[in-house]
Amino acid sequence: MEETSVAVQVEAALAGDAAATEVLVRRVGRITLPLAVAVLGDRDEAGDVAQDVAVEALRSLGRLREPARFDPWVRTMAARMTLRAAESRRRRSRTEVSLEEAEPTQSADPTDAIAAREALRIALAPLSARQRIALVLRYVHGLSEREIATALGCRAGTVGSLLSRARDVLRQDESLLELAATPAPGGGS
Amino acid sequence: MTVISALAALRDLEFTDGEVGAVLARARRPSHSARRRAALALAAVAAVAAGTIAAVPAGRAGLSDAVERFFAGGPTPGARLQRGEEPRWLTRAGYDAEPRVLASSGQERLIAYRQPSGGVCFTFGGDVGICTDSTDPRSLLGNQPVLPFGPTERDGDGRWILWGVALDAVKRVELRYSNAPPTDARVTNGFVLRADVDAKETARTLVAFDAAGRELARIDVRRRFELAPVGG
Repeated sequence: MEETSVAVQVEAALAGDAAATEVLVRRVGRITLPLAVAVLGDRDEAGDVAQDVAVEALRSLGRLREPARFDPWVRTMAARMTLRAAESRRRRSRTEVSLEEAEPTQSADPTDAIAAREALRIALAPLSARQRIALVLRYVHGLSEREIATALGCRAGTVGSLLSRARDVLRQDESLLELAATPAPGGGS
Repeated sequence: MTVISALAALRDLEFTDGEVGAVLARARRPSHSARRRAALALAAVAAVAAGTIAAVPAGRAGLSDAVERFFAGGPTPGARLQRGEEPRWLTRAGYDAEPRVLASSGQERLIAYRQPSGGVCFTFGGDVGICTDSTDPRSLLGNQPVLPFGPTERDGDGRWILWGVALDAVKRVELRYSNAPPTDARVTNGFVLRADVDAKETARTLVAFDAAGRELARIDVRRRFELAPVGG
């Protein structure tokens, strides 16, 4: 049902419907922001990446062969561009103020959300960017390992290993056991 | 707070209205690839009209970048100043090296010049600048191809001005905000970019692009704008 809805929105956006285009942009934000925040740890930088993904999605919308597959298509883009941003930040000159050092300024986040984000950043710090993306796609978007593999461009078995190793790391801290023991929500498009 | 509850909070993340507006504004612009195709087509037409394609001279030994050459003691990059346009403070100081303009906006110019000691200087508007005796551009630029300075608040509308120096590869910079469409500026070894009035609170990153529209660098400028003096 949702696939039908998003397909209609894509067709409408391609026909020049401004409202449908805005709906798709917001959809890209909901898909990308959790991934980017989990990997980059910063709402503002994640917002930059999500905006890049949304712009690329709108510009290449005409090349999407199956409009109903909009979400998986965006997830693949989001994973790729988030990983690229993480790599770019890793190489960034130390002369710039690091994001960890930067004080939160006026942000799209309310204070509570910033606190939650900071806790998440600390908890996810031992994990690689790909592990974080796999975790978010599993526990936030509720995707199967096969769907995550599509987004990350790897085999389902590789996703299983990524998630397993991530859970092992998180189990080392007793406070994180809740995540490790929690079954992933089922389903996903 | 456990990871699961923090992860659950990520489900609530969505674009602000400002971010949606910024995306829609950017998407309406011609893409870099479209601009590049247009430029390539124009170049092809020009080549055919000329009837011949000149042989490209072999690269000179040594440094190929204008800024790198400047640091190494070579010519000052930029456009020649018209007679009488030389800043008086510069000529009064007895500098005989020719100052050149890297970029300008209104009456304000970003000028490169060499000190009598041999050091290189970049100055904006005559009273803000930086000099170094180093012969290595990385002493200023670090590992980035572009180095922003400022911002300074200079124009009558109270708009913040970000200026900077860049290697040859950088052809455009774009200042991105948290909730507004980006502003950009062309780059010819330097740039002057007039930011939004409220950039002090909303400016986020400066993104550098090459001639083909490929992203070369992304620099966090939040702290720069936070520290900018109000009414400076």
